[in-house]
Parts: sequence; C-alpha cells; structure tokens
Amino acid sequence: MSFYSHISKLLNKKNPVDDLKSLETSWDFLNEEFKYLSGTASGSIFVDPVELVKTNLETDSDSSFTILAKNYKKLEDRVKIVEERQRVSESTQTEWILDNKSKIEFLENQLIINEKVRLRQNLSALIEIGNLEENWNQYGAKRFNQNLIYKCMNIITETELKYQPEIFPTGRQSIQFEYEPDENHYLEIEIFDSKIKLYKRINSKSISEDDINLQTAINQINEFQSKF
Amino acid sequence: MNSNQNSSGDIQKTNGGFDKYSDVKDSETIFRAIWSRYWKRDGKLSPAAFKDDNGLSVDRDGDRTKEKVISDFRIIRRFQGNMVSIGAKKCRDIEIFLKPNPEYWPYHVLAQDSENVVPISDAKCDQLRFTVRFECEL
Repeated sequence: MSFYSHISKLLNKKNPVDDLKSLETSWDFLNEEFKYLSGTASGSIFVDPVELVKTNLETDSDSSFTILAKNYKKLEDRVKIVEERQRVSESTQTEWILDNKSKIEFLENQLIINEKVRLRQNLSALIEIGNLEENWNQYGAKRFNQNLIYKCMNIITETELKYQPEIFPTGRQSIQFEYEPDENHYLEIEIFDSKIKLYKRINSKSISEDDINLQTAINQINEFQSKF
Repeated sequence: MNSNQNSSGDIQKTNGGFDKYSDVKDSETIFRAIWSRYWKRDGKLSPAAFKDDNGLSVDRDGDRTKEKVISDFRIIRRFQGNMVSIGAKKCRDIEIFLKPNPEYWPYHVLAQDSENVVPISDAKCDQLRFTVRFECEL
C-alpha cells in the first residue's frame, strides 16, 4: 500500500482504535519515507522531519517533497486529534471506573457508619427500656426483666444480624424489633423471655409465626432487609 | 342483663344520661394515651403501642366533648405523652371488639381481638396504627 493510500484511508476512518493502529502503520511508513527523502534532500538521514517540512514548505511549494510534507503535516494533525480522542476516551473510562468504585466505597462506608449509629441508638434504647419504671405506659405495664434486655443486647451486638432494627417495648413485657423500609413492607420480631414471635406484611399479605428460634429470626431479618 | 344494667341489675347512668355499661356506639370516639417514644423516625406509629395481654385500655367519649376528654386525660387521669383517637365504627371495621369496663373509670373500655380473645393480634395492631389519628400532646 502506498503512503498516499494509507493517508486517504486513514483520514476516512471513524473508529479511533482502528485509526491508531492504522496510524502506527502509516507513521512507520511515513517515517521511512522521510528518512529516505531527508537523506536525499539534505544528504543526512538524521534531519528532524518537522524542521525539514517547514524548510521545504517555505522554499519549494511544487515538489513532490512538498506534497509529501503537507500530507505529513495533515497526518501529524490527525495523529494529534486521534491521540487526544483516545486520551479523552481512556481518561473518561478511568474516571468513570474510579468514580463508581469510590461511590460504592463511599456508600458502603456510609452504610457501615449508619449501622453503627443505629447500634449505639439501639443500645441506648435498650438501656432506657431496662430502666422503665412500673406503669411506664400509664396503663399498668410492668418493669422489664433484665435478662430480656441482655438477650436483646446480645442479638443486636453479637450475632449475624446485618441490619439494626427500630426497637420498642410492649405492654406485655416483650421487646419488638421493627423493620419498615416502605409502606408495603413491614417485619416485626417480638422477643419475649421464653420465645420469639414473627409478624411480616408484604403488600397486603401478612404472615405470623408464634414461636421461632433466634437463628430463624435473624435469617428472616437479613433476608427481608437485604432487598432494600 | 341488658346493656343498661350492671351486675347488680341497677341501671347505671352518669350525668347527662350516659350509661357506662352500654355498648360503645358506632358514633362514639375511642381515645388512648400513647408513650411519645412509640413514634418512629419516619413519623409512623409502632404497633408495639397496642400490644397488651390484658386487652388495650381505651376511653370512650361517653357523650363528652373532645375538649372534656382531653381535660380528663390531663387532669383526672394524669396521662402524659400523646393522645390518639379512632372512631368506634373504624375499630369494628378492623374487627376489634370493644368491651365496656367501667368499674374503676366510667369511660373505660377494653379493646380486644374478639369477644373471647383478649390480646389484639399482631395483624390488627398493624392495621390499628394506620387508622388512629393523632389528637394532641398531653
């Protein structure tokens, strides 16, 4: 393939990657041509091609060397454009990847921070519940058994529980863990001294289980909340 | 025994003709004081507020104005927190049974799951929290 056909092919290309490959070939080809022409024109193959182009553009506008030089300049400009396009494309991709990676890291950190904040709030809530006096709800509710408070503290701190609940006492000496990501999804785990109850509502369908073990309760919570 | 008689057979009426033993009328309003910590971060009420194995103690209006009920809650009953209300008809719509229980307070009513089952079920507590209306801070 001749140098000119390389250039004309090159200038009609759209894909920057193909352009670059093609350019590399053209560039080598062109440099070889230049080495030859420089050697011919100046008697030396070590002349800077750009300087040579400038010199020849100023001195000889009609020679085949001038045509080659003009094309060389065109090619050089084209190389700059393609390189710039490639650089922008690569940097945009890199920025996008870095941006998403940092966003994910940020969100993960944020989730961990939020969970830690909620854990602290829940520990405070349990301490407050543990300190509630007789008749705390003004309708005769009894004080909470401290073993139940410790049981709940253990659940929120020492188990595989991935998501912190909102915690509420009930008037029947149980403590309720609630998850309500939206209007249509609600899960409550009610913890008594001797049993754990579950109530779940998804849309208008509700499910109750009267006595589940702790591991089942935790699995239910993790599964329910992981969808949000 | 008809609804106007107590266990001794006497017709019990308070001032203004209210019969404390009578069934709660659909037109009546039911009130309850709620611990303010039962409201969640998103402003919703927790169903835990309605869980009581002895039935949910509430007050019927018993021909009192809302202002009088609030005043009674604050001054006589010395309740604190927030007051919520619900129409008796709405209570029945979610199948909560209202049982007058005026021995210690003429307007006292027990809200139960049914006539024979006292604690309100979890599902009904869940419905109840969306049906009650916030009235005021006590």
